[in-house]
Amino acid sequence: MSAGNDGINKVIDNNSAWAEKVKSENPEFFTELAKGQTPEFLWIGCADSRVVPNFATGTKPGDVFCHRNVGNLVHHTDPNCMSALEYSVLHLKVKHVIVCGHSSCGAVNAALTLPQKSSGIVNAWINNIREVRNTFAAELKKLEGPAKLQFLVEANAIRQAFNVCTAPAIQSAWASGQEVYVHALIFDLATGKLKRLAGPISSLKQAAEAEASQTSSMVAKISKDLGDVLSFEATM
Amino acid sequence: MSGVNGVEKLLQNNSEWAEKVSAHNPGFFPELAKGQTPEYLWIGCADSRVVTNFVTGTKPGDVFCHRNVGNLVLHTDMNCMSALEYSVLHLKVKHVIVCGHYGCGAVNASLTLPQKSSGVVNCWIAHIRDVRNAHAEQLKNMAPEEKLPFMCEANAIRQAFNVCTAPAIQAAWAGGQEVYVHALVFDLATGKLKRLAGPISSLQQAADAEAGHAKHTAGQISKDLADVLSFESTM
Repeated sequence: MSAGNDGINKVIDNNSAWAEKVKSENPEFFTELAKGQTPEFLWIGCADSRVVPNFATGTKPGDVFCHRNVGNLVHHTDPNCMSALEYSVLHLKVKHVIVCGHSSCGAVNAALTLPQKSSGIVNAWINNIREVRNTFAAELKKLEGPAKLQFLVEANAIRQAFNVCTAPAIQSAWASGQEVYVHALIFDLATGKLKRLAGPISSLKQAAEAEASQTSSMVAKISKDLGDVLSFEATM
Repeated sequence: MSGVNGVEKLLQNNSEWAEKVSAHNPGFFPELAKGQTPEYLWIGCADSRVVTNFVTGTKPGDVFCHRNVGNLVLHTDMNCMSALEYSVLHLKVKHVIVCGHYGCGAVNASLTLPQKSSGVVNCWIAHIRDVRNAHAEQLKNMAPEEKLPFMCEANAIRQAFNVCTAPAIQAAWAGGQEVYVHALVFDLATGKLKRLAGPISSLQQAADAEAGHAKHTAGQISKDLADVLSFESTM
């Protein structure tokens, strides 16, 4: 059992040191923190251990409401992500929703390499990335190795940002005039740099244009998706 | 930071951070890009104030991280289950930490939000209401200001129990894999982490941890555990 304790004792010791240091620099820091949270940002990122949102964005406790999952996916039928979105947007009223993908993402790579018949939950979870892959099949066919993976990493981040835009929480926020912007970013593991892919988006049309600009040959498909959504909504 | 250009500030911060780290250690990011071998999976709350790597003093690459509203672990939630499966069975993390925190809005909602409320959050926190109901007797006898802290702890321990009964952990333990489960709670007012349970490496220990936290429900938890174990033994 000592290995079990060693691992957690290290965490507890680190925590103690951090808490003491912060308090000595600012005695009120934690007592203020305990009063409540008013974050400006929701970060939807990958669970990958290397992509640490607060390090990458230089933000402090209280700044960023944070949902992380395998492959930074946003599904409307996923109550886990949807509750993070609903709570942060409609209750905490964050101003910005950032979907952040990253280079060398294992989930995106799996969408390119893991057989669809594989067992396990991860295999089912990444099906939405396979859908993004299929949408961009023509583009991907022209690419090899790292370039292929990087393309899908970016396309996935933009598609998930589009899914944020069509989610009920964001749609109702926009419908009631709430100021909230959606962004897609990419984190480059090899440099530590964040890159903008799309945003600030504050309407479905902008979301569709962002996705279409990623690959001009897919404009027709994305415009159709958007057209479908908007025309159905217009009849309600 | 508000307004349409709110993300600009983050990108500036990012540039400075990346430059600073690279200047201090030119190999840092290229090494990071090669792969990840985290020792920990953190399942914590999405609350902006509970920043995993700050609280645990860890670096990029140390902690695979799943954060959701109320740090819930549900076997029917593919989102959390895929994070658990990937980190335990593929990345082979050594420790799974479920970390709750005092003053949790999701836990508070389980004590205060009417069940008829609209929205997805209301459905999502139904599982915290289950924890609340399991501890109804104790909660009834508690001073009002004690209920939320008690529930934050009870929820963290119950979610750690759910980690232990999840297929990924069960398969790992059955395969002799060394992986420990822990329940912690973060105190916003002091910045300190407190151990609630763990290291757990068997179902029995998980049940003992839960029973230890709420002495009056030892009967219920023992029954839950006996149910699980007896069913498994017939398979």
